[in-house]
Amino acid sequence: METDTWPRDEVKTFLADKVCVKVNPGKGPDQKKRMDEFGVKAVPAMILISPEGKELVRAAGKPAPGTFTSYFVNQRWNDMIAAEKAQDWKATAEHAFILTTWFPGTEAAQRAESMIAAHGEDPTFKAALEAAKTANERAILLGKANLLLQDKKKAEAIDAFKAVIAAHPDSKEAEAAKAALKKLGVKLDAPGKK
Amino acid sequence: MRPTLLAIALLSTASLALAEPPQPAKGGIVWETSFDAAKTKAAGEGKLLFVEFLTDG
Repeated sequence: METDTWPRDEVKTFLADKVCVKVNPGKGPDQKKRMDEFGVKAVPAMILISPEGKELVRAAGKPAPGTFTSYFVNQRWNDMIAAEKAQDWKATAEHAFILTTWFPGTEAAQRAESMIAAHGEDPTFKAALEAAKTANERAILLGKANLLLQDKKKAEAIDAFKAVIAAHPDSKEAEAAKAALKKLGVKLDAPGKK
Repeated sequence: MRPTLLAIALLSTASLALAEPPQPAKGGIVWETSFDAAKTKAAGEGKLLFVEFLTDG
């Protein structure tokens, strides 16, 4: 990978807007634990994870040099086509969202846009697409708060966690924000209390 | 004729470059050193986390 994949321009372009990290099970039990957590049985392997923490695409083994980018995008493209064929509009919408959001500028994303245009009025498709967008927004909002905390910007993080609760009060992200605030010693007003 | 052709070629290249989404990282890929920090960073910046599982040698 170091000599035939990472130096390639198209690979650098593909990874330029992603946060990259290596997990080496030979470098300690925590790294091995991480591998087990993702169910990775053999190396090399690569996984793309969304801000929600969902695994989007996995490569078991090493894609051939020159096919790295298409390897990841094509998996989702094939999944979307299979879902459309099965008339599973929920899955089709979710795959279309992933392609248009995370792989913009690719041919697959352009075709996913066409898919959205073609099926966008189907109630199941529309609801699934909207749910995917909202879930992504919630995850990023909570992620911003966590990142502020990681960067030791406590006051800003508190405001950001409160914003998560205000924007999405009944979500799992709001529960996580409440837990984070409690850990920071912030007391929240009881519901209905001014 | 040559300058005209050169100009067309340059314009075509410029158009293609504009059509491209993210630009390549000039200095290569940046690898974070901590998984947890990388995961938090990715979520907070609204980006995908790319994880490579590997062994040395």
